[in-house]
Amino acid sequence: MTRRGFALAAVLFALVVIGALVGGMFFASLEGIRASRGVAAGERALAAAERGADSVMSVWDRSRTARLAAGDVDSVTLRLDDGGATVWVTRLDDATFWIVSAGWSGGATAADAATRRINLLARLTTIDPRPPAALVTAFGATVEGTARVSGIDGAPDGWGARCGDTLTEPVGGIASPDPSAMVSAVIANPGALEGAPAVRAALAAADSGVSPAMGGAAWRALALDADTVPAAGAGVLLVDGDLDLVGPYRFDGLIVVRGTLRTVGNGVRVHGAVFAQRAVLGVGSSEAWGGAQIQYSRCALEQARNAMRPHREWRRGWVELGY
Amino acid sequence: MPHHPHARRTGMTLAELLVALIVFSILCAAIGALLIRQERFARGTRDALSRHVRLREGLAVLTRELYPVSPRLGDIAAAGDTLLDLSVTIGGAVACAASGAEILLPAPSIGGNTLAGWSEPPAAGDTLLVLAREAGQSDTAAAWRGTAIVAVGAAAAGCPAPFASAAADRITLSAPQEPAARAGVPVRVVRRYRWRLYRAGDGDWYLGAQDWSVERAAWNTIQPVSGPYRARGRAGTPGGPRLALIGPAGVPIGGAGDPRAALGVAVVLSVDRAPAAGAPARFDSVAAFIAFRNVP
Repeated sequence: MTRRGFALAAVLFALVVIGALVGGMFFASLEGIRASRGVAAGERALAAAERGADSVMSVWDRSRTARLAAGDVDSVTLRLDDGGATVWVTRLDDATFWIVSAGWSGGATAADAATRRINLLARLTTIDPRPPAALVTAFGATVEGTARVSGIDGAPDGWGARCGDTLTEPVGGIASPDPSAMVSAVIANPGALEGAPAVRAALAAADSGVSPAMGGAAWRALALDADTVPAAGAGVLLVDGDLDLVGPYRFDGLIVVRGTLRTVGNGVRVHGAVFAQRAVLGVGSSEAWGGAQIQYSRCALEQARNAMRPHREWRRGWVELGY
Repeated sequence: MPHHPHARRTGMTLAELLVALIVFSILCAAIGALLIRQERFARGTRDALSRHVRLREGLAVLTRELYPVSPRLGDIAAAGDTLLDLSVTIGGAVACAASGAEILLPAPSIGGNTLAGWSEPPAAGDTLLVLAREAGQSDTAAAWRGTAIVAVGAAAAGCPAPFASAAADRITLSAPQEPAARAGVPVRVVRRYRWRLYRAGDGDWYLGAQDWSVERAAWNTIQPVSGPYRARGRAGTPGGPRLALIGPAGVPIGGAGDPRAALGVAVVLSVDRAPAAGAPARFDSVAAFIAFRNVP
């Protein structure tokens, strides 16, 4: 007997309808998942970019500062678990760096991959390459023995090729807010002071919290940023208290002392500039002009600036770069 | 006509038909119920995805706009629980040459290092800011100086060394920026935007943006960017979309507060759909704190 029914057709129809509905639901869910994964990949790429930039800033290669001229570019690549970042550092001028960090997040498919780029501006704390004098004090200086202070620009020994021409116009020898106090200071040898003028009035490092040697930067910031770079041969020496330099000793760069600077014995050589509350130079020195010598050096100060770690420009320093 | 008393009949009996009808009805009812349930589920899933997309879109747009805000420089002109009046940084570049009121900026490059990048290209009416620091000037004395852009065009030649590029954009300012503007100086371009949570003509709430018309010295018509969102002020739904400037220690900055102290924006976006008969109302929300990147 042949029976004709439509149950099979009805079931098939129902299966097709249900299949279409389920398929549509799957498709919509898949699209949602893809979109979410795309957003997540973008956020991971942005995080990678920020990490790359922060990494370069926090572990700053100090030799980079000395190495790069305006327009030069240095690059670093950072690998992360599911992506990474490439960071380009371009030097813009003596104190400003342009940092581009391109972060990417990887994935099993192209849909999971994303790239984001950010830009940071970073700046070196400014060291004034032309301080008022080779030695700037708040409460005067005593120059004993065979010590000498010179405001005539001179390159440190062996730095001729690195420094180029020296300034023809000297800075002062010693600067103090009250030059009359300097007149009464003990200056053992005629000619121990050189400069234009040898003694001059200038506001000095009287404020214990701020250093005029570095553009008014706060002491704590300086303590974080300053360092010496052996490769550059110069640096910044910050002393929160008194400093005794016992010869023979050589330093090229900037010395900032919040207390009293004393040089003892023969052979103390400082090229650059010194800011101190008080200075007692040449204690126990006997060699002819060999006791202690502080000589202004623009080149040493410029090299010392390169020993600073740049800090982020917080005022509009961060921006995401589109295309 | 011959009669065949034993011929086999091929039809169904009445009982068979009734049974078949009953079974088929039960099957139809079951399948129908299943289909309705599936359809409801599919619609619910679709709605949920749509809600998520709206929330994600709104948050993504606000995040991108708010990250580069620098409150201490006055980028936030006004703020409320439905409004943010901002100077939005649309990108930055390094000037490769400057003369008079004209500044040359490298064209953005897609891959590798770039000395320019824009989320939107600079245009007349935007403000170009130059990070001005004179030689020997202290670091803290450096400042962003702004000048209005009056024209933007492609430069005939690219940028010269040391910031060389094959293509460049020529920006004409309303006034010379020398000597601050020079090769190697960083610049930013900002554009005024007003972001609002507002009720549109269709009665729904949207996140929208208005840009500033320099010619008319007024805001252009608001354009919806994302939405619709849950209505604000509806009885029993105090959790509608809202914005709040957040200051130090997580304290909201009220209308009388100083927006310069803001550290970020707390954003709450919520979406819902009209409840079906007998079904509970469904809504989703997202709450996020967007921290400004340009605060110490």
